[in-house]
Amino acid sequence: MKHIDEIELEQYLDGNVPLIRRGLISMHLRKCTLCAERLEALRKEREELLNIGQTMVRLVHARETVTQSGFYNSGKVSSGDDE
Amino acid sequence: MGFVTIPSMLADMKSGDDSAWAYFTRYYGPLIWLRGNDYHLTPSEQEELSQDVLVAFFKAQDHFEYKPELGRFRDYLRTVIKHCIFQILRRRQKLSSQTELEEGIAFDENEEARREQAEEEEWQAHVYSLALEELGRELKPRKLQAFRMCRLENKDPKEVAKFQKVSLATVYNDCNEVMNSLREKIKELSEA
Ligand SMILES: [Zn+2]
Repeated sequence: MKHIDEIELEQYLDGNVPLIRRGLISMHLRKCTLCAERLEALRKEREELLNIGQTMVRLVHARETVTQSGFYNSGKVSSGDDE
Repeated sequence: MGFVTIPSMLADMKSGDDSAWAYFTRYYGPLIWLRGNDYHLTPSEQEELSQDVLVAFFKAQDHFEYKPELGRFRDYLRTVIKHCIFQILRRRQKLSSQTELEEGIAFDENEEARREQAEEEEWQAHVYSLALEELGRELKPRKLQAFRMCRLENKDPKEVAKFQKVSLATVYNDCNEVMNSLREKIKELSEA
């Protein structure tokens, strides 16, 4: 059996692979360290993305606050040479 | 305005280019605000902070040459923000020396570690936001939407397929395409 492609590994992670195919993939993963490692890397990447997604919400909120508060609304500040 | 390098952004800001100012405000204003928020600055102190940081940038620009990498800029931004926050807190608390204050603030190691962790996460999210915005110019909105929903918001791909009225396979293909482009873009931005 050739290596599992990335999209199928993603589907496997979500349990979105037909039953028989799922069995074949599981068997392959037990024998192939490379694919098992790729699967683990994808799992970690997903966790990281979810964290990033949550932090992005925080950033968006901060952006809204900054925009609403009128910080920088003067547009520009002096270079500070006058200080 | 697409991704711009830090030196050109700062140079354009200095020459009064409005779009460079808008770029800085949009992308770095929130990061500055979040740091100020972490030190419980009041709204007026937050405003002071944003102005102080900008002024510090301009002053520094005359003395230093920026290394253009985002990582370097991040270190620099972090140093400037922290310095400005300490100055504000020092003014507030009317302490006579920065050393005293720094000791006072850094005393709670757990709190400091939490701040650093938050800063790390926010910077990462900032870089990903930049990358996704860039990809928005290159990829179909449907693909980015599928990626956002599945990978950033943890939505069930089947639900996303239903919502987008496409096949489940399409959702997986779209997510995969965006992810591959995103990895490339993140690498590019980190080296930019
Ligand atoms: Zn394999």
